[in-house]
Amino acid sequence: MTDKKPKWAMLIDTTKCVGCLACVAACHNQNELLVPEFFNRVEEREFGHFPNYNRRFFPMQCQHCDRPPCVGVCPTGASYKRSDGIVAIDTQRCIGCKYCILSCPYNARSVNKEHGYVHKCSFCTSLIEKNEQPACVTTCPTRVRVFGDLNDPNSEISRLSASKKTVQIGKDLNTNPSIYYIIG
Amino acid sequence: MIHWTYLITFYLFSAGVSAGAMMVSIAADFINPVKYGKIVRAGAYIAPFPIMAGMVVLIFDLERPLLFWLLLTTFKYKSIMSVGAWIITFFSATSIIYFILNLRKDYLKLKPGTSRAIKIMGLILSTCVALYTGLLLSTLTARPLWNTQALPVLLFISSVIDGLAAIALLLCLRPDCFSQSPQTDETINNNNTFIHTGDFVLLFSLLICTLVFLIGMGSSTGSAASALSIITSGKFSVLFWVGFVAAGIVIPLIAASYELCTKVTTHRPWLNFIAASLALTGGYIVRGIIVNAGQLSRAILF
Repeated sequence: MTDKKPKWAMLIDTTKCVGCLACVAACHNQNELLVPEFFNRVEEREFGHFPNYNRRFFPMQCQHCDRPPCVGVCPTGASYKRSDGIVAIDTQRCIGCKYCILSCPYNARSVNKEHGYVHKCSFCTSLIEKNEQPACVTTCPTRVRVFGDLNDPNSEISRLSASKKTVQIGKDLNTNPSIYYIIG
Repeated sequence: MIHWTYLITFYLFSAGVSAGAMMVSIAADFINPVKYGKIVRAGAYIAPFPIMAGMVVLIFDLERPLLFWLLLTTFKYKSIMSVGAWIITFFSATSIIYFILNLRKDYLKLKPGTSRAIKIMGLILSTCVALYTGLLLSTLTARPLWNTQALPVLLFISSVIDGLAAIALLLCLRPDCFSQSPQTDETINNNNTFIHTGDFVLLFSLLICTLVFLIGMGSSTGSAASALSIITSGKFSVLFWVGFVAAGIVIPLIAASYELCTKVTTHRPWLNFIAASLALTGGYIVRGIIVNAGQLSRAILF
């Protein structure tokens, strides 16, 4: 470990995903969500045309952007960017205007039906603070997800995110996400 | 998924009508307060009320309406909504002062310099309100239908048209506009010419702007083109072509041209009434389409 503050990031290798939705269930359980609410989801994407055709499961969630549109548009400062890279929400200050939901290209935010504030993936901040990994990462049976500190040059995520195969999705929207994908 | 419902459409429309009415009224006041007195008064009487209704609706659209005051304890220059909340607050206050200023008896007894300053401030603030409704949507890169340079201009022009139409409507319903000065053919003609000239110029600009919006979106990225197809050929297409383009622009434009070209001194309030109602309906419809279809449009990520 280095002395520098961590910069949390995640790598999602879609070539390994079998679409079991264990990450979705783990997230649901960890964050005690109500039934219609999700912080992560598994989309199905199609590539190419028959016979050169491919279909992939594609896990999606908050990308914890370095230039998050949701933080910029929030009128009360409820959405903010932490120094460790996590995009967080101060639920006490959220008035539920839903401007951030509309500003998010990844459709990662939703309204808490019980209390009315907007919430989303927090990289399981409470688990990270206990030196554990986010629930979706530990649950995944095929090791699709790799979570770690980008400021630590020896971490697996630093090595993997620098590889040629990884991409950040929606990068040309000037968001610079902290989630890296291997689409393959 | 639709997060912003018809309440936001109503809010954007009401803010547009208020800003437009205030802008037209103050402009008419600066050009010639005696000749266009009816327009000045009608605009001043309309301006404060739609936006107040809009603000109430806006608060109830929040998921936590009781926390709305947080908007007014924060200022974030990067958030259009935060800047806008402050602008509409100052605009509403100014529009109320301007309303009292134009009542028959001068209750405020302001010096000419002060009332002039209020008018200049009102002009600036109403311009900001009319621009802000479009910028609120156009700054979101995630929504390709909104994220175009033409949208704020389109909604700005539409706001001024709506304000002018609301004034025209009030003058049809109350031709004396709550004043006891005698109704002469000359005053009616002066005010009508002002309204029709304004309508003609603005509706023509709106037509050009709509054309630029459509062509620009169609020739832009794949996300923009698929977003455009939602309004031009998707489920909003009839509303868009009939409700907005035909009823909201073309018919009022023909009516304004007809009134300007024929130079008949006889007053035709029914034509004004129909044209103004259609322009207002078109203004509401275009906002409804943009708010709803914009939320259905998605940036293609990879």
